Amino acid sequence: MAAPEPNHSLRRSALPVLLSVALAALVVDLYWFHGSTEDVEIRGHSAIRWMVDRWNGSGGDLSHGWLIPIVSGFLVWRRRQELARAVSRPDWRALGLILAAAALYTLGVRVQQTRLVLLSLILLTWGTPFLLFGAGVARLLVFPCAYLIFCIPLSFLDSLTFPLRLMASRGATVMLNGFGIAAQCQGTAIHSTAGGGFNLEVADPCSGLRSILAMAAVTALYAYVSQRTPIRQWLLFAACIPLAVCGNVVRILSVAVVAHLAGQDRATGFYHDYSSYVFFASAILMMTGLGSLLNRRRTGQATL
Amino acid sequence: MTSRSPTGRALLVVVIVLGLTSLAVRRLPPVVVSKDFGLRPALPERVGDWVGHEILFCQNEQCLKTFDRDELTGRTNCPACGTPLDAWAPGEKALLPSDTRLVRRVYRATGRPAIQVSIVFSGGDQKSIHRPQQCLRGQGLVIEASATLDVPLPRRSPLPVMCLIVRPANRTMRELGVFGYWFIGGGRETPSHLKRLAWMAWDRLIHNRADRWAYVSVYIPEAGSVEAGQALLSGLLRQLVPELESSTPGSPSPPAQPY
Repeated sequence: MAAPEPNHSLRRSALPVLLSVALAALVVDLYWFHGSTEDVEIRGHSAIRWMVDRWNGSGGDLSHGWLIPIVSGFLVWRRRQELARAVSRPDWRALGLILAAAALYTLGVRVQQTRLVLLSLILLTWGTPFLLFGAGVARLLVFPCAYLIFCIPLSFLDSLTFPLRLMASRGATVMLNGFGIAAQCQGTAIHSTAGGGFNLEVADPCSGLRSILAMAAVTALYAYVSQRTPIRQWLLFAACIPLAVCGNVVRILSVAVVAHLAGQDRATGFYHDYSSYVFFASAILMMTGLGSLLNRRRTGQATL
Repeated sequence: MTSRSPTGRALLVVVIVLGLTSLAVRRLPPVVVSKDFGLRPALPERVGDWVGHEILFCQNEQCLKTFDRDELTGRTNCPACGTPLDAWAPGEKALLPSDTRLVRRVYRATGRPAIQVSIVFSGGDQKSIHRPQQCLRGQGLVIEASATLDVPLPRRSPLPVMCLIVRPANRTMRELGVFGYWFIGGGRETPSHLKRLAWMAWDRLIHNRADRWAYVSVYIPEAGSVEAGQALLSGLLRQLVPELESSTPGSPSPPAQPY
């Protein structure tokens, strides 16, 4: 009677492994081999390849996409001990999420909208641990999974390019005049009104759109790790667009100041190529400043 | 964890749901690509006083010259570099699916600016037609404003056309251009890219049908002023659209309904 025991225990340990392998195989099948029905001739059927091609293209606007899964994975790893403690019984409410992910996937494939397919993958990435290990685990995974949304190429935002260019050139002109450098803004061009001065055109790549997407990802992460309450996290995250616009105004202002001091060729050549560092330095400084301000208010309220 | 444990059962359920999804996607009836075009797949040689010239593109990426077919007197290679010519620009060929169809003419009339008219007919892939804003930026044009223009047409409701005010990005001379476009397919017409996508999605999902939508664009590179450009655009479309909507020249078919 003792003989069946090892077989039974082997079956017990092998089944979950087999089911996990089946789950992984199905995810690969759905998202790599049958995930995209759009642009199949050029990019094949992989939704992942469709996404990665866009990260590599679009003039570098979406290149931050490479970092997002790494950051998301790091955030999960950072909370690994809390996750281990939070594991509980399956939560069958999450079955609704799994079914919604399946429906979204089918819809995306059917209507040739690969973004919907990718969104379904994110939903599945959150919904599966929710179902298997309970709501505590799901709560800890909300942000790392939601952060993956920044992977999805949102190239349709390029309609914002021209208004952003206008905003940046107007803002930079106001600041130039404030610093005593007489300048005029005509559409998206900034002209020095001093004789022999500079003439700058704020072109599409200088609109700050690519910076907005990257800043949104950076601000979301910073808000998550630096702010304690969801309201303050959302407040700081909502500031990402004004922060990016202000950072771009500072960058364009710096190009104009270099043009004023060292000549247009130097400003639009070497300096312009590296001026994105000015953008990120100023935008990140403003972001951390705002973050500290929000935290200080919290401390002040606690004292009161 | 075993298949009988609660977590094992939950894992089994996820596998079953994804397995059924995989099966369902394979078993759904295929989407049938319509054989009918929303418009006549050709541009007329003459529209009133306007004479249409076909444009051919050199396929050499280093040359990229364009020529009027009439000027070439039967030559099929680029007079500048000898590379074969084609109705498609090399960039368009690389970007668009092979079942996409394209017709294009430049209309000229004495004393008036030239007008480029092109129609792209989508194939089975919705990628065949994309937002004009994407290619205009790729062509070095800046969009300064946009508005919907209702063009009055004979014997039908006005045609809603999306009218963009554009200018070249990298020139000191600020030539102002007017770019008008709209989409037509499955008996519907709209200037909205989003509405077109919604209709295409609906037809694919509910009717298993992919209509061959047509994207008609009219570009006046040197319009002079917004008003003059819009007047030229309206004037040409009043004569051109009834011809495009007829299945054979001279026999008008029922026009599409604007949405």
